[in-house]
Amino acid sequence: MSLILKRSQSTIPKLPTHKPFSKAQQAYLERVIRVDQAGELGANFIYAGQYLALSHKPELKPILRRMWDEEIHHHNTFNSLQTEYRVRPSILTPAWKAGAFIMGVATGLLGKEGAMACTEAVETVIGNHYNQQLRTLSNGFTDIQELDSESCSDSKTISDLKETIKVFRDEELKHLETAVEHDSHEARPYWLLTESIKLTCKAAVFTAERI
Amino acid sequence: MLFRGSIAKPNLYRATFTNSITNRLFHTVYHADIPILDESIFENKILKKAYEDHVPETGFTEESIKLAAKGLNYNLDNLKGVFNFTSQSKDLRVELIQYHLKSCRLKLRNYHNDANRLQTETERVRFYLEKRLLENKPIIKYYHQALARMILPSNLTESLNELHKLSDDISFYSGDKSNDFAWYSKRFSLSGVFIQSELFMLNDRSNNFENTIEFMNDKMDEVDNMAYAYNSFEEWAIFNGISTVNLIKSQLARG
Repeated sequence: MSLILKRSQSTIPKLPTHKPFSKAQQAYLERVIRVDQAGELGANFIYAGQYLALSHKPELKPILRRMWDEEIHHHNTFNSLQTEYRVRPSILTPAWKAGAFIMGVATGLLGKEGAMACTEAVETVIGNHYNQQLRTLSNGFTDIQELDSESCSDSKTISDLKETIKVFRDEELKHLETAVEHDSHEARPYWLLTESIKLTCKAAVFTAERI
Repeated sequence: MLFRGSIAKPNLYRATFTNSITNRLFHTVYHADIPILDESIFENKILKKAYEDHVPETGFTEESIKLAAKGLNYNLDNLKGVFNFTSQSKDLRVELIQYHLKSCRLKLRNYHNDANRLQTETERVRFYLEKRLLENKPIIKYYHQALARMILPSNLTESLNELHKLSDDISFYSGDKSNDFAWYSKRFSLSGVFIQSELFMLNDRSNNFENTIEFMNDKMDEVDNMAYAYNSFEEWAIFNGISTVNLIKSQLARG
């Protein structure tokens, strides 16, 4: 406890600490926040739909509930980042809500295997997407100078964002593992189902980044 | 790919208003913000002098800028040439109008302490709107010129952009935390109220524009009522939707 206090006291910097982002960097960060917020909103609503369709099965209920709670936490985190950083949310938010909820209910009605195959497909796309973002955040933001020293470093904004995305990516990949453990490969038609969901997710990512 | 090479050079932002045609920018306390107005730029010094000393008498005209340049001892026969290189519109009067809009938006930052004493978001929005409207006071006699020029098709994008930035700033300062479509409805309705109040203000002869402020408050009441009605309906619909589904599920479970 005292260690934490000490740390927080010694690291209160004079704000701002870094020079402005370039326009391309700002545009990229806006995209990251917007698409991640929309994505977590989608995940939240997919689980809501699956929970609605499957919560009457006692062996599935706690698993779905645990994953859903984590998605709610992710969604809230990106919501607060969006307001803090003054990023415009995706204008299609109502469509994402409806689409994700319908996808959740539909795959839930296919049964346990269908729901798990949906989770597997979604988390595959999201995991890759987060990795891509981490790569760009590591490579594209190395040239921002500190205000007092001229040397380049990550500001707290960038390092916090990277940390958040890393944690979330690991949690999403854990969901993927859970889905595979619970027979996602038994879903029929497995290939058609997962590939079409992956395609839908990629199209949604492409759109949410832009509008 | 997006970041090949070094593009993070803040001095890119030297030109007067050229960078204003971007969207609202990513903002964080750990990085310096790009200023709304850079007063150290030569063009902005002229515009500042013109706006503060001459617009109240000569209006949003080229005459004001010429007088200002003369007052600052710049011998400029080719003022137009100077602005041509650095401004988006290539029109001195539009630059002057944009200076007015930007400097008024900038001044809103002086009111944060007073605004934070207010309890609710809508009170703070009204407070900022009132302050912003009253900043038109010194130039209200010539403001119709500015409005007429702003809505010309060639200037419309720039003016709408600035209007959106104003409503975005006011929403942010007032503590807006909306994450979905409400983000858009709030800003649109705020811009609407602001424009209507400005038009009302043109013909307002009351003491210290009391009538304009009252008009703005009435319009904001309408917006708040609409929001309340919509939110209540949504709450009702969601509640009934969930109840219906649960009812069906319970009936199915009984067999």
